[in-house]
Amino acid sequence: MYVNSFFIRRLFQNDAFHAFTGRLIAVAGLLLLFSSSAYAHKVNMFAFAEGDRIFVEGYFSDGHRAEFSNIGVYDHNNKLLLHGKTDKEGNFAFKIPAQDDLRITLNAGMGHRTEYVISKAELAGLPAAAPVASKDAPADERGQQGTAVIPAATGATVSPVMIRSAVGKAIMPLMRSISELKERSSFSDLIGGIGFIVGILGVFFYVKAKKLMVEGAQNSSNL
Amino acid sequence: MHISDGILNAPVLIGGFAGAGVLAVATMRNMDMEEIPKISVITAVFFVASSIKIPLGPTSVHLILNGLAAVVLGWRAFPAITLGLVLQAIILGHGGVTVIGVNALMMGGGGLIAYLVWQQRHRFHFKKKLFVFGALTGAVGVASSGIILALALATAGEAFHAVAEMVLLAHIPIILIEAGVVGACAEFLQKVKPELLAGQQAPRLQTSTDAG
Repeated sequence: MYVNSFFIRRLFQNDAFHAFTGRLIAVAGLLLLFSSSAYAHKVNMFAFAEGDRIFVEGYFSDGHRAEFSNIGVYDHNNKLLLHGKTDKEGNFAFKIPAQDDLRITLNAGMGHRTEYVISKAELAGLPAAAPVASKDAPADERGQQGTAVIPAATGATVSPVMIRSAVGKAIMPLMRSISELKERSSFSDLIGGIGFIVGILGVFFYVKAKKLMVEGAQNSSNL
Repeated sequence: MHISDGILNAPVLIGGFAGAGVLAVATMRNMDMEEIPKISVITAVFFVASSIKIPLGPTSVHLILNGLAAVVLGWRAFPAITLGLVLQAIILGHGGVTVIGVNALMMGGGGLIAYLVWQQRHRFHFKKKLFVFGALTGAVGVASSGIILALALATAGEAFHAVAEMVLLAHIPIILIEAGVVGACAEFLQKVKPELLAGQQAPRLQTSTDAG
């Protein structure tokens, strides 16, 4: 009867076990502190509309670009509108194929895939190209700015299209940061996960310990 | 190495969950209470490991550590890794939720294969046995997970040989690092607390001369 509780007590008093666990946790903690931000290693993308084009940037959470990754663009009926490949900077650009909720997929190989949706509202007011006859859209150079079609006759008047274009350019770094922030996993996420682990396994432990105690009580009552 | 959502088709995903479920139940049978703290620590290490990026030249890698799980937990490595994967998918968004079954078969399965390698150490007796077998276990853990990844992607239409080659090449630094880490851990644990290592008794087929 007393053997079981003795064993349980011994489990928690064993110094070498505590030393091992302590060292393991310390190392993990130190590594976490020294990595400036705990990114999950997966592929992300950011897409924005400018002028008559949509620009896509693919990158991994640790910063390096998603080069030569497959891009697919789908409308809200999941019909494939066009496809292509990112260049070695992880960028891809295409003319806006339709005024619709566009779902852009990026597949970087080896099981890494992500999606980005540009809503119809973001495209409102931007010129859409006629539906492309061939499914292959050429990868435009990143440096080329998609200029909005502004009739020269308007002169000094500021058209809504110009405003949209200017605002779009201005908030682009902000949108990119927000997109990156959304993907980042924080230190508290990791602590939360560890808490879950300890909790779930603690329940297991409790159930087994209870069983052991019940058996111990039964054994002593049978003596 | 985690597979994201939207790549594999439904039958593969369902098969993944079925296989992972069967293996999880099988590897959790007759679990001893004393194993639970070990499982808890290893699951936490596995969970955190994917978030720690180790810079390697222009890019960075993150460790998988299913070999470490195999060395310390033995068969229980599978449920530990599965739990770690579930939490990684839900909390960190690392790997798709629908792909948890397939990812478990990949990384947990790789861990079980690594355990089989780890158990071969009973046949040998030389001075650095623990380090060598720990290193082998760490390397096999990552490599077999890579092969299962290529198999999974092959069901989605990608060419198996091309993907397998690419995955293994890309993971060579991880294989080397994990070999070193797991080898060092195995050696250290044997000196400090050998009971923490899994499979300390040779499998029954080989104890024909032992009294146990």
